[in-house]
Amino acid sequence: MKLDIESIYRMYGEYIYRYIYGMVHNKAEAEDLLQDTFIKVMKADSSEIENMKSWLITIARYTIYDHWRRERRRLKLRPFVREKKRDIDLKLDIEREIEKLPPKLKEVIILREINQLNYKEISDILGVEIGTVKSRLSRARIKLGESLGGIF
Amino acid sequence: MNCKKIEELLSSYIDGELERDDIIKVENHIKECSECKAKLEHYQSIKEMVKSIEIPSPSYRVERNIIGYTRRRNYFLRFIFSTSLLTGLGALLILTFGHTAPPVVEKPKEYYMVKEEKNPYMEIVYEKEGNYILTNYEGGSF
Repeated sequence: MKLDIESIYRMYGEYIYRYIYGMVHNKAEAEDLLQDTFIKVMKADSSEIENMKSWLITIARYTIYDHWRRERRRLKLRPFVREKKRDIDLKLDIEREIEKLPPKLKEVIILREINQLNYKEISDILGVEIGTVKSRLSRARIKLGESLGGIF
Repeated sequence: MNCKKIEELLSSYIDGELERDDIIKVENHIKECSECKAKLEHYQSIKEMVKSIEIPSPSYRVERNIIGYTRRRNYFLRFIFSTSLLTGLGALLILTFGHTAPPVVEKPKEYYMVKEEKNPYMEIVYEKEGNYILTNYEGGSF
């Protein structure tokens, strides 16, 4: 099946960008990753896509994790190069607190609240049980609740 | 049900992902427990805060790059496809009209004899085509 990338981009480009931006919190980096994601989409085998949204987010997710892995390897190979400070654009307290969460907890919050996916879709993207999605979301909210409210 | 267990359910409750039985448990509990009710409201407000985070749109440059890349790629593929199609068509034309096969004529085999220099008892009978048969003087082949 041949994918029409132009229409896919027009329909889902911004949606995928919201996920990527939520994960990296940097406009330039998120834009580069969005481009990389779509290059992968062009080359991907699209014969068994059930849910286009989840499929695209899965590819974006691999692209982000690959990028982080490459960055880590680059820093390990060149330990004397000082890590360039990432220019993270965090305006609100909630953004700062989400950024502090461990990646696995941050990811479920982004997928649920920013991308408005249900638990089944999140579990398909992450390749985990729905119970795991539930407990990660619960942990993430408890952490955010503690750091933001301070009332418990 | 104790507060600890209810707290674990609150997250799924606000997402509307709880089973009916659990919904009833949570709702009955928060009627009586003000602490858990406060937690629920707190989580709901956090949910609203996260949803309200402003995320910029990707710049037009990205769209131009992605769509430009696909178009260039399509042109390239179309070019490759059309050239290979033309080549194939040309080859087909040549095969059909350009090549006339010569009539097949069965030639009679011609032989001539050469004496093997090293072995005087051996003769080699050559065919014109280059094949040869070894014979002795009586003409029997080996």
